[in-house]
Formats: sequence, C-alpha cells, structure tokens
Amino acid sequence: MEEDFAFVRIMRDVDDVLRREVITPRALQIAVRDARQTFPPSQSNRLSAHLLIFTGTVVFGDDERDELNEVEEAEGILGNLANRTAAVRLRDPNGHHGPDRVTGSASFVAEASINNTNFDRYGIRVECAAVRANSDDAYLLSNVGANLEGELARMVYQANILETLGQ
Amino acid sequence: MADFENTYDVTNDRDVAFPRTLEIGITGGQQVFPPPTPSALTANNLLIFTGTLLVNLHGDSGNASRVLRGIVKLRLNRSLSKNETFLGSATVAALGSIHTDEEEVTFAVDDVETIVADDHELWLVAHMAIQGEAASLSRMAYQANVLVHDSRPELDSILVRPAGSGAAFSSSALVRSGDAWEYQINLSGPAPDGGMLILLSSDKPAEVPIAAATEVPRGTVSAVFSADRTSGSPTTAVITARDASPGRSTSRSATVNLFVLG
Repeated sequence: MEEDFAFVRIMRDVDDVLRREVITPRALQIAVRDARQTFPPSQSNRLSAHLLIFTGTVVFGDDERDELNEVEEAEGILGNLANRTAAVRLRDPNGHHGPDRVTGSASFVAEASINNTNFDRYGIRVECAAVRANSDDAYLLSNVGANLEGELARMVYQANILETLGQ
Repeated sequence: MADFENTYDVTNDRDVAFPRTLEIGITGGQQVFPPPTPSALTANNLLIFTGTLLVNLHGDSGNASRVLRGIVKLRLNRSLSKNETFLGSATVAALGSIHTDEEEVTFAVDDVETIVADDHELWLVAHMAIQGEAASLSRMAYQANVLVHDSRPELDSILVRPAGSGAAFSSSALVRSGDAWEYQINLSGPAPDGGMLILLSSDKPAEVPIAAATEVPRGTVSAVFSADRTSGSPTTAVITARDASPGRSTSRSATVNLFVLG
C-alpha cells in the first residue's frame, strides 16, 4: 500500500536554529559501488555513489515553546484532529544535485516518546515513512497521529538513501 | 540528578535479545551532519549494531504523577584498538514493548547516541523516562551505525614458490612431491605494533600442509615463511591466508601444484 502523505503537514528541520525540532540528528555518508534498491525495483538506472544514513528523534509539541504555530500543532496532535504528515528536512549534503540524485531509499519511523493524561482509551499512530526529494533537499515523510488524550511526543527515524554523485 | 542509571551488556542474554554486529569494509565514509571536525581521515569500516534491549523500567509504584527520568547505557562489546579512530555515528532507539493499566502514563526514549568511553569501548547511551504506578517499559529496539577509520594495513596477497629455488614468488607454483615450498605474505603497509596475525589453511592438508597461522613482524610490509614438505600424489592445493585482526575478514589465495617425477 502506497501512502500519499497528504495530511496537514508538520514541518521539522534537522538544522533548526533552536535545535529543538530534532534531537541528536546525524547523517553519515558512505561511498559505495554496485548499490541499488531491489524491492520494489527502482525506476532509476543510474549508479549509486553514496549511501546516506540519517537518524534522529523528532520532537512534537514541545511544551517549552510558545509559538502559536507550535501550540496549534500540539493541539492538533493531542486532539481529535488525528492525522498529520510529518515532514523532516534532512539537510542532504548533496541536495544541490537535484531530485534525480536519489536512486533508492529504505526508511522507518517508530514511537520514541508517548504519553496519556487522563483518559482510559487512546490511540497513537506512526503509520509509515518514505523519503521524497525535491529540488532543494530530501525529506522524510511520515503519517502520524494521536487521538483522545494520547500524545506522540517524540518519533525516531532512520532514512537510508542511495544517491548518485551528480547529474 | 537522574532517577535511574542502568548499565547493560550485549554479551548478557538477559540484557539484549538477538544482538547482532556487522562490520563492513567501505571505500570511504564520513559524518556529514552535524558538520564534522575537519579531519584528514575517512572511514573504511562501518559497524552496525542491532538488538532489542530488555530494559525493564518501571514507574514509581507509589506516585502516579511522578515521571522518572534516567540514563540507560548499553555496552556494545566492541572496543576500538589504538589503530582505530571513531569518526561518527548515527543511532536510533524506539519503544519496543510497553504495558500499563493506567490512564496517566509516559513511556519515552528521549535521546540516544553512541559514544566511545575512556576505555575505548563503544556504548549506546539513551535518556529515558517512565511514569505510572503500574507502567512498565520492558523492551527498546536499537540500531547504532558507527564509522571507524582503521589504520592497520590490509592483507594484500599470498604468493608461493618451491623452496630454495630462488624463483620469483607467484600466485601459483609447481612443487615436486616430497619437496618443501615457501610462501610470501604481502601487506598494503607496515604491520602495526605487535605484528599482524595471518590465519592459514590448505584445502589439501595431507599433501600440502601449512601452519595454522603466522605473524608478519611489526614494521614489515612483506615476509617470507617456509612451509612443511609436501607428500603424496599429484594434486592442486589452494592455500588461503586470512587477516585475523578484529573486524577484518580479508582473505587471499594461491595454489600449489604438486607433481611427481615420472
């Protein structure tokens, strides 16, 4: 099943100024040869030059932040507006090569911090993850949500991306 | 002050379920975010550690609203030798197994990182939290990806020749049954302090025997060794040399063709 990642977006950046959107973001770049995505078969026939491994812990609804945008996000996550698409800007060091640079990817997300306040039924969802690249950067997209009093406070990710060296 | 500081070890099967370590030789690697400290080194080894930590954290049984926060440390059972340099890491840890029958609960892996301790051991360190009188967080899944530069030389080749012939060493040699032969181990650079241990084997040990291991002395790039005398019928033996250094699996082969004078 392919997800369309079409819910209201929550944007996160591994390089945000306050260093609060993603905890301990890391990116490793590894030179490879003969690397490809084998399932599903990649549409790209370009040779991969690098494997990039991105990891980090995404923060949702940080209580210490009082920007309206964040409060709304937190309310959305906490309330019955259950579904959101988290978009994590990964700061791909080869982003300037354009979206065609990505020849394959394999990613996952998982719950890292959850809580419930005062309701005996609640749901928290981290449903899927995939990498999408555009002209400026690579993004990890994930459909997430929580309802009733459940809160998804943190989500961990690992995105493995195969890339060409350039055009 | 942390409410708890727990230490675990991947070698203890009560601490980690299905721990695995992969050591992968790579042609180059670096940590690119956050931007690394400028270094002339590039990684030639990628270490991948996975497993499920049986963390077994419990909430405060006498205070439902108290959030316990602490540190969990997992020894990954991989120390870096003095020839190895830690160049970066990327680590994930997630909630694996949780349980509660309460309304007000918290389960958290707030932050995780892989570090090199003062004793050169690799450790996964996570900041975790739990709330709820009956809350339990029993398992945490992890993957640690670590880049290392290993300055030890590679095993370049094993070459052979009949003993005392003065012939050039080659990837194959013709040796008369009953005669001795010699082999040359070549490295990509000088062997480190303590020498470099090379494991040896023959697929025809009865006819073409060889010692189980040899050591290239410190500072030496190439060394010649004598093998035992051959015996028996004509055959072709494949002689294999393998780097016995931790984290290495490079092997090289040569052949000894045994013949009998008619």
